[in-house]
Amino acid sequence: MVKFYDLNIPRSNDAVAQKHTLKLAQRLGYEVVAISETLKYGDEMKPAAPPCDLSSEPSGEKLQQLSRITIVLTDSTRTDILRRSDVKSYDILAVQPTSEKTFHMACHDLNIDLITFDLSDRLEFHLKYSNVQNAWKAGKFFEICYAPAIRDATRRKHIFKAAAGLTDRKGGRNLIISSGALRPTELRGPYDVANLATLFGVDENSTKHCVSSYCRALLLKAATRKQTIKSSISVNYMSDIKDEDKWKVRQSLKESERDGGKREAEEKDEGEDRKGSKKLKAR
Amino acid sequence: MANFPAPKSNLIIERSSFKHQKSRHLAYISGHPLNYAVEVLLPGAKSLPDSLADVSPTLDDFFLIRDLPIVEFVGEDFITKIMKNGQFTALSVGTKVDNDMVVAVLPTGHLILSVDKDIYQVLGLSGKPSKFTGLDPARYMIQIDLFSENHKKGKKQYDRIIWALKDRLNLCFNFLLSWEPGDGNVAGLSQLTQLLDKYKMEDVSVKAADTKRKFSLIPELNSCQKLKEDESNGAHNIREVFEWIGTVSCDSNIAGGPEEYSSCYTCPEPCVEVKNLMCRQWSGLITVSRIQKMLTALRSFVMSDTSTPWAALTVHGFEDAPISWWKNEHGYHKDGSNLYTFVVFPDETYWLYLAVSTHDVCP
Repeated sequence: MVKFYDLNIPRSNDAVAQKHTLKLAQRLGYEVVAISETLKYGDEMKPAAPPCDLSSEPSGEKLQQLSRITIVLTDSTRTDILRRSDVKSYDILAVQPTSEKTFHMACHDLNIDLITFDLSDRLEFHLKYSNVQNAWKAGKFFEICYAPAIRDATRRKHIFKAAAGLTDRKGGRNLIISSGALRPTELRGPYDVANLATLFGVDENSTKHCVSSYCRALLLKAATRKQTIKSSISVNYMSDIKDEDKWKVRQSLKESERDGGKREAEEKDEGEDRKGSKKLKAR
Repeated sequence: MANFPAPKSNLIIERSSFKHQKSRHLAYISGHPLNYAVEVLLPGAKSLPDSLADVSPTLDDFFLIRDLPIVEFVGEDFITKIMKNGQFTALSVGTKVDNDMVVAVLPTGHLILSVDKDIYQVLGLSGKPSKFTGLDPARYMIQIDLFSENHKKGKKQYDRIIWALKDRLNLCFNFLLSWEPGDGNVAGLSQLTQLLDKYKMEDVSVKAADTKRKFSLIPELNSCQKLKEDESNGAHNIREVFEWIGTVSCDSNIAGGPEEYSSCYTCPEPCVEVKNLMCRQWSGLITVSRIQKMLTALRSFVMSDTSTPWAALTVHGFEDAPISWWKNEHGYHKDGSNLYTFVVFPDETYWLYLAVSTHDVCP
């Protein structure tokens, strides 16, 4: 679905304020939000917290809540944090480079979804086009948050400068814009954010993509990182296939509840294919 | 970087006479079935004249039906009893054309589905990619002709459509429906309610809203004026006239004058003062035949009434409709307007403005 996404609503300790922010995001038209935790080096990583309970709100359950972790990369030699098992419990993995080396590493080597920046101060490194292009080819996305621009006039300059660096030649092809809103008043509607993308230099036809299609592509890439082997194969049991999808797999036309049925279907598979390569249900 | 042009839109202006053989006014009206508002602007009139009140859209009712599966429209019974026996229009309500799936049924018997990529890949019906999504299409248009010869029980196409809409993905939406039974079909509405009685159906009436103003300035229009005439000859800028009509309909015509601080907007010259200016808007699901009757009544009123130098009839299409004119695709980029205005003169000539937004095929 090409919905509207806001992929950076920082987690707040105040549950009531968080609820207000999410309610307003839904009212403004966002259908998917990601609640993010920031992790600096030295902090302990916790597994993803459960989504905020919005069942008391009218149509509160329609708002899809995802979890996101943003890891601040201060040292280019210490990337073991990305390989911890708790990272898999988050839907989106983002990194925040703080130097030229960590930015280069994020764009070339790391298996991540999103590269974001802390724009409260001037960026100390240049956004070299070769790095940006490499990240685009690897399917990684860049993120700009607009809430700091609402809070402070000086940060506005930094945000526009960073955005100009990212949209320089390719017109913002892999740029997503999210809020980073700490309070409900820092949220803006998706069409306003699309207009803001015009100011950043994104091509007019692609401005809405920064809050919709590119975010959808980002989530699909994150899913391949989490659920698949080398982004091409995923393996499931035949009994896990939903009823409405059973017509896709020929063997599952004769339904069997027993485990033996599962094995039978796999053996038939091997027998039919002389070359011996197993047919797996690819996603 | 410093140049931020506004998203593109198109304004098409035509000038012709109602009596001309090749006049396309009826084609434009009948080709635009999904209308949510119609407005009448009458300079010089104090209240709505009787001839227009007799054809007012408030005489029509339409229905809101909740959680109706699309497959109900596709059944052969429904098509032969209801759709082929009158003018049936339906549009899914609460769905946005840039985000969700939108469904429309046209009086010509076409079922239009505007679906996004995920649903299209799973649904199983063939369609064309949207013209407005670039090389990697994110949106597809599926158009099914329900009146065609191949759409009958037992045929492959029929079975496939029923399977896709019912067994594959049983899609349900809230719909606005309007049905005008054909000639001689008196018991028509009861047939419709019988067929759809298992769903929650509500009667909805058309809402009317008024804007009246006294002592206003209106542009003094000359029907003989050509569309691109030099303004120094006393001719109007045609686009400015359209803008003026828009300010009246938005109730924002605060013509303060060039020295006024809040608004230096002025009425396009040459202008004349009138004692009354009446603008009434009706909103709901307005049918094509109602608009045709209103235009005929307006034409005869303008011809007969001497205090009205000209009149305007504006029709607004739904912003979230999947099609605008005929079966041309309509999208919502930052604006979804697809509207047209007739400026009617006493000598049976007219100016027609057709306005469409960014993601719209030029009609």
